[in-house]
Amino acid sequence: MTKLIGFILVQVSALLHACRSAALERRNMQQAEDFCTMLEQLYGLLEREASAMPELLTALNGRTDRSAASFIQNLERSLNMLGARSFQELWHDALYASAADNDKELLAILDKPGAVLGRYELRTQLDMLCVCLDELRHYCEKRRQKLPQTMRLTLGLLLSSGLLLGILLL
Amino acid sequence: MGSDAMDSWAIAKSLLPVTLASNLDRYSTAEEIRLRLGKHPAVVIGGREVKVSGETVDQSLLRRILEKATGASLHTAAPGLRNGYISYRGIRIGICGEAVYTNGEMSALRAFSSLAIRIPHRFSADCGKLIESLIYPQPLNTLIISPPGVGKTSFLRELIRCAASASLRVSVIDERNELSANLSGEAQFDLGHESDVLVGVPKPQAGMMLLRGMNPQIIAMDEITQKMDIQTVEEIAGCGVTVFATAHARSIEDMKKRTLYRELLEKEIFAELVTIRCLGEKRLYSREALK
Repeated sequence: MTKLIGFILVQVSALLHACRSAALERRNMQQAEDFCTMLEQLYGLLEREASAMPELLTALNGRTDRSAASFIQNLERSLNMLGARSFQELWHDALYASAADNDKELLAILDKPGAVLGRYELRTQLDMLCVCLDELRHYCEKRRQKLPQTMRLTLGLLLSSGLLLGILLL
Repeated sequence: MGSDAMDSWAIAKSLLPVTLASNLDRYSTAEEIRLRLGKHPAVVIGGREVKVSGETVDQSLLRRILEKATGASLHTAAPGLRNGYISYRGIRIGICGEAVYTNGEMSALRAFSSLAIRIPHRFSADCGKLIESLIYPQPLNTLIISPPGVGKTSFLRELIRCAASASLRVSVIDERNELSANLSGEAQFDLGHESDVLVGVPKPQAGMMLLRGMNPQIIAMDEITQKMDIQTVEEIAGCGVTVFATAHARSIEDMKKRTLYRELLEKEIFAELVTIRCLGEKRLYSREALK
């Protein structure tokens, strides 16, 4: 009886772990999409109004969600450190302060605009945002396609390992 | 030292990293801070460069200064960059680098190699009487000349302040935002109680806008550099409004050698010429009647 309960517990925990992995993956996807929306808005504002960075960030504040909103707030707050630190460093720090637990590939993509924004002429900045948005959309699409496959694989692996453990226990 | 000058020095230092700013503490009479890639920072005092101890200038330092000066928005400084400088709270930062061309026209600078942070000249109380004589009993069309970096703009700013504090309505054409250092609509430099400042508008257009809209008694403008500026001065003076203006020249003889300024002098618009000369750290002001 004890062995049966142990077997059930192992299987349930495998199932829960698979569900947690799925939730985490969906959250990463959601964050990527939030940042994508934020960068699209930034591109639009920069192209239309060519405003200064503090004004752009104020305009974006409130229009963004979750991690992207936290990123904008962090970056806006840190602008008074310009001079002592470069904008690229401030961008990097704000990004890692708001989305550090995210996928490294996603963070690497989101880190890129910091090296160009506010530093070059408008066209170059817009081109960089375009490149970043393309990479981000590609990343989202790739993850979206992989998600069911990854989920099936994770679930299958966890359940079969649980089953194997169960057989050993029984 | 006037409070404006003190403020300007503090503003200039605020652009720099703490270590470099503290190395500059003993050069508070400096007229310029010079930063050249791969070289030691330098200050200009009395027209001569003095090397400042510390690390050599690298690209990252130049970038950080420009990021600070533009609020990480170099694109907003594009018009100034095309002319080789940007303005930061009344301080002009001259820039050298590589030109970027868009559709065959120079659109910006990048790969910055040198910065010249120019601190507005300290106005000495000695020329207070000279300024008074240009305003009382009635303001006279006045042209202020000097070589670059000697203090034309500071003198003009003081002239505006005194006139606008003496119940004269002064409209200021501040094409490059150097006279007022306007920040979100508020002048960072005191230009007197009765002054109205139009920022960023080219002189010909600004002259007409102010004449039509502000009913000025005096119109002040910095640096006459092209034929259209002379036409603007002529139109303003023709309307019975007094003009205060500046031009780059060492002397009246120097002006006569140049076609543009010869034409300006031949029009006999200006009644008074103020020449500023540099003698070491001191400035010499002389006045002569042109009519």
